[in-house]
Amino acid sequence: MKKIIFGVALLLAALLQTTVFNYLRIFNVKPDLLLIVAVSGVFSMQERQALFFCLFCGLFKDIFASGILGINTVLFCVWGLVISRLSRQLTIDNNYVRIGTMFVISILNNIALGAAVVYPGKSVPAGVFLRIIILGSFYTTVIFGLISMVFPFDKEAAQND
Amino acid sequence: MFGFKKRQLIPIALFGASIAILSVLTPAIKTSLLVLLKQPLGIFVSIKREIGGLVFYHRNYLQNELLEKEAGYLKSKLLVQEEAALENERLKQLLNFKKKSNFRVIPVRVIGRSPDSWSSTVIIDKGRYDGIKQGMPAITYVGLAGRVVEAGQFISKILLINDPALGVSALIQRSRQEGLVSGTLGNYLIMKYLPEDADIKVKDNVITSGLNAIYPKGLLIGTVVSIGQEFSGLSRYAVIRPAVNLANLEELFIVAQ
Repeated sequence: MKKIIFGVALLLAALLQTTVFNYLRIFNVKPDLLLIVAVSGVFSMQERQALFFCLFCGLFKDIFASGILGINTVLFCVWGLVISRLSRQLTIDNNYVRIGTMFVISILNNIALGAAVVYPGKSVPAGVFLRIIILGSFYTTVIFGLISMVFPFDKEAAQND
Repeated sequence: MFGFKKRQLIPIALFGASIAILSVLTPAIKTSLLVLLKQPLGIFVSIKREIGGLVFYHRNYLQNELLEKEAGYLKSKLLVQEEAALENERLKQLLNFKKKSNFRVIPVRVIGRSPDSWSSTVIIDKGRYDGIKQGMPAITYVGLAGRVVEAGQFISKILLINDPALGVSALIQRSRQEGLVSGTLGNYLIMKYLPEDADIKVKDNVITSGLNAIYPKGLLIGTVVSIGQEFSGLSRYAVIRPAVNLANLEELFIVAQ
């Protein structure tokens, strides 16, 4: 059941991200719904399932995005692995910790994507670069916080799955 | 004469005189009295209306419900008509452009946008099946919008001119000064590699130079809004406002020839 729910969420997030969320841009920045769904998946699933789910989320994003092929697939898998390994060392059952984790992952993801844009020599003004990294990550985290308030995570159920 | 005595005539004369005086003064008195009574009258009218509202509450309630429904229906009808009028206007402009254009163009509809903020692309509803190929420029009736970067069988991806990955060889229409226009991921474009003594002014139009075979010559890119000095001090750059509203693209033309 959980797989179906997350599958539908992934599809819905991809569609919303490419259509409706363009109207919700703040300073030309929109939240990364697919990253939110991927991280939520990691918080709610077992490691192996979560990694597969992150792979699909990244693939979906790469399908719609242009640029370096497969960068989102790789990055999403890396973030999934990082969170899974982190959850073995630290307790991330608290909602505030999850939100904090989401913010850090979002910042890292934006830095990696930004570096991939700038590295080949394309010029992006520093203001735009920082705006996307900081505001984009903050916006993503806020949306993640709202979603986690409406749909609380159930890690125990995931472990029993 | 009529049997009145002199003493009886005096009050009658006084009464007549007072009526005559009052009738002359009536308009003036009326106006000032009305001014004085304006406020109390207003209060009374309000009280009357409130009482009427209480007495006829049920009737008014039903009537209000009926009118609200009618207003909603009329509003929705108006909205549909407004939308149709806007679409009509837009399509008229597109048709006009198609007639005037020397290019063979394929009209397409935008169905999606890039999922992240690090690129500026749109997804269109036509692909190789309709004759769209990778590298074809995308335009609107205003000017250049971007270039096809991926052409699928039935859908394609267009990289917009505000993406830093897109570089367009351009020139200032007035002075024919050449430069390279690229995106910044923001609302403006940047024209780079302008010499120190470049003849460029604010409000100058920037058009495609035609040096790159991909873009036909003379397509409007935008207008210069500011000019600056490169960090190295060797060249200048110009900030350009794109002619096409890239945030609200709904229809595009792909230049096939």
